[in-house]
Amino acid sequence: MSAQKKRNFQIEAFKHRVVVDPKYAEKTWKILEHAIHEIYNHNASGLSFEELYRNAYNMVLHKFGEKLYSGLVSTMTSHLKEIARSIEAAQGGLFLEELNRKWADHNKALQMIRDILMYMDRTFIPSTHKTPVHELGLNLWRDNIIHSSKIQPRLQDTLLELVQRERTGEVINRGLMRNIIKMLMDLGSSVYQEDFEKPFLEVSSDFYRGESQQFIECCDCGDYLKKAERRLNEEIERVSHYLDVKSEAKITNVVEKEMIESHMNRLVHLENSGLVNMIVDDKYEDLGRMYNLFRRVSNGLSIIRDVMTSHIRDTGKQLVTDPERLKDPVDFVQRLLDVKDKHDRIISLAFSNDKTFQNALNSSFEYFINLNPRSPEFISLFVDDKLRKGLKGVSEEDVEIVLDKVMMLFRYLQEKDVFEKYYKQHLAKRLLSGKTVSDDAERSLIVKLKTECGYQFTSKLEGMFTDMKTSQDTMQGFYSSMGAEIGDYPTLTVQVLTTGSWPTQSSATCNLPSEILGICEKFRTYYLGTHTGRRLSWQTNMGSADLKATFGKGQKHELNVSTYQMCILMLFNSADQLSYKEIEQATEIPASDLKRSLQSLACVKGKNVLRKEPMSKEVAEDDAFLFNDKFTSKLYKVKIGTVVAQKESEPEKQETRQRVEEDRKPQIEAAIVRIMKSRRVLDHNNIVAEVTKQLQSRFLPNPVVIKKRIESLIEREFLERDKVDRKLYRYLA
Amino acid sequence: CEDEDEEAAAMIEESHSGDEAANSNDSDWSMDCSTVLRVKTLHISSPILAAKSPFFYKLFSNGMRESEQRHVTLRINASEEAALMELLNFMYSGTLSTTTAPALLDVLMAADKFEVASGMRYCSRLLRNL
Repeated sequence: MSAQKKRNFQIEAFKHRVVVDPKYAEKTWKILEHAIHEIYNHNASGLSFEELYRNAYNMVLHKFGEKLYSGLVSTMTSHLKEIARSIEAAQGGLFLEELNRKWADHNKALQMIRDILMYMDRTFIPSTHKTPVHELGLNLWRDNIIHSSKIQPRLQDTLLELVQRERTGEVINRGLMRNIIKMLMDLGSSVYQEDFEKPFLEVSSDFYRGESQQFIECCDCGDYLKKAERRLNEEIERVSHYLDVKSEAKITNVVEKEMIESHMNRLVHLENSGLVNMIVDDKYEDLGRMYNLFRRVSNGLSIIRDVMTSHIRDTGKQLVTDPERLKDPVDFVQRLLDVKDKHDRIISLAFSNDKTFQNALNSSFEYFINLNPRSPEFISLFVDDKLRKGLKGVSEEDVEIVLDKVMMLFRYLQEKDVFEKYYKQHLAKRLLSGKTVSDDAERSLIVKLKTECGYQFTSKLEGMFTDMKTSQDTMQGFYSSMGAEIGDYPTLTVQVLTTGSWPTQSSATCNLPSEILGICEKFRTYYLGTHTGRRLSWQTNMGSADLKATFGKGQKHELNVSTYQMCILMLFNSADQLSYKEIEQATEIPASDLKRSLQSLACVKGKNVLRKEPMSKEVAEDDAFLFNDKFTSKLYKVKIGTVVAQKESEPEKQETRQRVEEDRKPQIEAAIVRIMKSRRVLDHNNIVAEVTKQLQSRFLPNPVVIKKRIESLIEREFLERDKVDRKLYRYLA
Repeated sequence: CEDEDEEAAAMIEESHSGDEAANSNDSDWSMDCSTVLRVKTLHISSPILAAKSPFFYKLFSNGMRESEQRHVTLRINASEEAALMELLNFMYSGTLSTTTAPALLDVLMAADKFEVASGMRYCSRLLRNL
């Protein structure tokens, strides 16, 4: 029964298939054709949508789809040909306007035509694989209008000319431009690309090639960059106003290539205005512009970086090797810091804190700071200066800033152990003379060094602070246990220094004046009485003394002098004139110290409590010295400094160097043993490499020295050479 | 049919002389010269119809004559009348009252003509399940 029914619908389904009269189809098409004409003639509001839809539906339903479709194509084509003629006829500037107006009309008409042919679009077109009505309308527009031989070249020229006019500063109708470009895009990306974008890029490329050539001949670097930046922004703006967004990358690429990439080497090195000049003159804005522009092209930034690096290296090298600069270590370091600050500012303000630039700056500093072997000494002297006087009245934060900067320089040093040596000496002087301004600042720096280099590095420095504190307690104990017993003696303050923690000084003890020997002896007895098994020796080169002196007209002064100077001055209590030789014999002060002390007592204006014969700046061995009873000073307290060359003299330098080398030996040996203990067998080159790696945080060991240490270890039977391969070492447990 | 108060449009149903299209009164399938059998006026809601069918959407809005009219005319064949009534009903209620295959087929045709996608799906499903 159901089979019966099914057959039934099949039959009924065919009831709509009507045998059709071809004349009838022709009549129906005429109605639709007329409607299409009316639509193009802006008379659509008088047409019945229902009627047209029904007719189109019937044509498709009754198998006249093909007729309908081909009729549509030919009707639309003939309209478009007519439109093409009217566009071609438009004069000059009206051309684009006419094109734009007709395009709008066509779109509106196309929309309505598509509406009435909706049924065909949905059923007939997909099943016959024809082009849908809307797309068909666009294709016909493209073929009959845009690609018509009279319109295509004219359109292209007009568009490119408008762009060119806008580039030369004229105002153009951007809205019209946008509509036309939008039309090209609607016709398909290939139409936009072929008919506009490609020629646009070519013309732009030529334009910017010419313009940049002209600019580079007559502009300085800063102006050139400004112009390039403006052009780039103009193009980006142009895209946002009336081009396809996808064109932005392409047109900026053209500008970048022609205006930047082709000229960047020349720009950077432009005489009197190139990168180096900008850096020297702190032209942050220009530098920032250069960074942002060059960043857009490959290798752009590396050019800037390389030029900057070689500039910093040159400046730095000049600075650290200039003999003039070596005269004032504090100024030397200050200049280094200034160079660093300057470039830090440039990197942060102009180079957007680019990490690779920071690294380049750091490696440049590392390079040139180590060109001068005295850098470690000078940095320590700088700290010394700051901690002696430079930081007075400076807030805690500012102190931290200065110290952090010093640490930064310290990080660049290869020979950190040399710095440590000097730092220790300078710290010792500061502590013993009581000259340090801020205990907090001292400790803060020690903490920084500790975080940078580890406990080992600073343990001795910390030991020095401990000694100072213990000595204070010891002196209190000494005076309270002595009481009135020592009332007649001069006041003595002793700092007990642990050997090893303090810099070892050649401790040629001088002869102390008899006046203080008594109290010294009492202290020694007291100290050894409380601490059994210790040895005390006087370090007369480090102390200071306050002396009361009466001069010619009875005026009294308190003189602050060094221990050596005290010994000398005390001699003049029993004599008015002494020869150099006599002084040397009586005091046994080492010659160089003696000369310095005498020089500062006799040759410094305003501090000359002695008179020298003959008068001269230098002290010679046959000079004679007299008590200067004509000495006057406005101040009651007179501080007589020692003429110390703040930095070391040549022999002292040699000596320090030697001590550093001595100290390195055990460290190198320890490293070798550590490495061999874990590796058991290793060849020479690898040992050298590993030792260098292990020690580089402190210093850069010399391979020759490492070899010597290995030999010494072999002698002492820590290592042996392999019997077969002589380049191989074995660890002997 | 329910009459919606909103914006009522009148639909006049006409049909040509031949009583059944199936019998194909060959002479003419264009109705211009055919006779109007009767006119039926309905109140409908244009938003509902427009939402269900692109045909009605365009009819009410694309800028041709009907867009401006309160009374819109659809000319159909007499044989389509019942199916169109069913379809209109479906567009409001989402259900059909007919269940027979030939009637459903007619509704499907009407749904296809006016592009009522939901109606086409609905009819096809019912037909498949018969």
